[in-house]
Amino acid sequence: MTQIFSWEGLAALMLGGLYGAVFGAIPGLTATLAVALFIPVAFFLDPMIALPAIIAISSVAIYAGDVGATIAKIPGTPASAAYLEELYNIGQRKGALYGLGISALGSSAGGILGTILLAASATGIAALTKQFSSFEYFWIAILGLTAGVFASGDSPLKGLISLLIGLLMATVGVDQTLGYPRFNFGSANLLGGLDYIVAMIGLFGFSEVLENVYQRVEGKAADIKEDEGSVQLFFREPLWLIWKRKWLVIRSSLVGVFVGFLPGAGADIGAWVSSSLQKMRMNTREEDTEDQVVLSGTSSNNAAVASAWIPALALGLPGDTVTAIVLGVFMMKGITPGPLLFDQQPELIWSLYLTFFIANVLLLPFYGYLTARMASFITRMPVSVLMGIIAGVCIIGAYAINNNPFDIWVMAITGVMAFVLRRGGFPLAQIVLGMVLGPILEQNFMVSAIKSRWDLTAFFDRPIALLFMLLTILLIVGGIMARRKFLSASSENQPE
Amino acid sequence: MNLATTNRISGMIALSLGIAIWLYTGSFPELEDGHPGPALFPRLIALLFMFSGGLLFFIREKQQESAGSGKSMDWIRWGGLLLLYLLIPFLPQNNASILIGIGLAVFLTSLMLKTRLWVAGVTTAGTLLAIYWIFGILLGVPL
Repeated sequence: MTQIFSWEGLAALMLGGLYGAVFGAIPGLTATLAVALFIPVAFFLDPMIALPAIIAISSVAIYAGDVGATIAKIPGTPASAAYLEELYNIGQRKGALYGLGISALGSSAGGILGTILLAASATGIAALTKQFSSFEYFWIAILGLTAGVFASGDSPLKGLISLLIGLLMATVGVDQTLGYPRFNFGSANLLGGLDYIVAMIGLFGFSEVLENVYQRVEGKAADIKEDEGSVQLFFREPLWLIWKRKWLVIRSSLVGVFVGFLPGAGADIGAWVSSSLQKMRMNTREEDTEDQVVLSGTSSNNAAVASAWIPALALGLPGDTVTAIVLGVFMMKGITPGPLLFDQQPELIWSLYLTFFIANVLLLPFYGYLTARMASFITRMPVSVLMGIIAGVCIIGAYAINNNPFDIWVMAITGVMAFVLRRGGFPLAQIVLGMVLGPILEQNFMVSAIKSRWDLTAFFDRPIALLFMLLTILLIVGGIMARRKFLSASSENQPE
Repeated sequence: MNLATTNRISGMIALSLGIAIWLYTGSFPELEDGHPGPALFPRLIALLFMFSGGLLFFIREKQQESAGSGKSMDWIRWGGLLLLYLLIPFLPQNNASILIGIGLAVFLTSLMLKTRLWVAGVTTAGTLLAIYWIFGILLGVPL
């Protein structure tokens, strides 16, 4: 725990927060991309330094995505797009500082609630998972993959295909259970499988460069008007709004915690679900309707940032792409996430909780105010310069992880694949989910099947396994029903 | 290309990929007692690819147009950049510094996005210095 308060720990938090703030504020650059580009550095750092930095980056970058949305109507992250119209209107009506104040302090409140629930539930879930065998892990992986499909936005079918691509990529290399090399096509470099961290740099980083070159994007990230404001606009009024709408903040944070807990969903989906629910609830045109929608979305997304760590720490399953990276850092450092982590490294666990508190209580308001004041400078950074830098970071990132030039090809090819998939409307987070959950699913299935001498009824014998199976069925039924409802609602709203 | 056509093409690719995986994994060995071996999971994935690809091909899904559609395109620059990236791994394989490749990538990417020559030069120099300092000196990565 003391390492957090060492100068290295504090520097990691401060620099991580600053990096997240700048990155998130630039339109088009997501929190995931910020963390993905930090991977090569994280791998060389002590986990007690790297993990707090990742928490600071992701927490602040999700908020900073609102900077471009408030002042130029350009969402910095997909989460910001959920309440873009409302946030921009608030900025126009009452000033950008007020809008960003709601966003930063709402994020902070949601993040604190998410952290409390993370601290309260992760240890309990970890204790419960000590009872788990390969059967339970198999069903958890199935549950995670199912949730990933239905959390994939407006096309679950495309989410499924993305997931299958990830699962297929996970089968490359020597089969973990039986030791047979698959899909390596004679290449020794592929025998060890595809490193999903390298793939992520290509999926989120290189594809962004390709997209910008392809579209010949020029000029600055955003042209915005200058905004003047004060501490009162940023702190006092939004704090009063949060106090007045405390139940909304709590409700939205709980939604965020639930969504963040589902593998593959994460903060972006949390913001969309929560702000959509709030928009649906709005019957009367209250004066602060838009403020409430923004407050709901921002508190939900940062609650999801924290809760995505619950399955990552307790089960070793990623709640979102950021925690998928965290799992990669764990593996690289020889740390096994799961119930034993809580017994063997309690210091690390409590450091993470503490970091979340610091990030939400201090970093978010501090960097929130700083980015709000520096918004015009940050969002004017030329896209061409930015993409050049990202291109360089992608190459060194892919290369430095294993010191293997082959990984640059893996990164470039996954980048091209992501570019094509993005244009076809396929989600990318599901590929990462497939790559992370694939080996867990296969290994636990094979171990269970061999253990039970291929008596597949054994998969339904154990009560907890059965519970996860029922939850999976419920999720499928609920997902299909929600999709039907969404389709009928959208066809009613469409003009003839 | 509109979304319906894109979906049809995507569905066809997924379907073909599923068939290809199914055929390829036919050569994988089985376990001694006849139970499925390393081919089991890839074959399940293949079946799901065929199923979802078929659905995507035949069903018209209601979905918003993807973000990039309808904008101007530049395949030549795009292909050139990709080729450069694919050539970079040959540098460290031939005992040349990877920094050369990174420098070229940063410089050309900036130029392709219509940055002025001196800005591209400064960006490249700055990025290389930062990478050299962080990775070469601080983290000890052989560059």
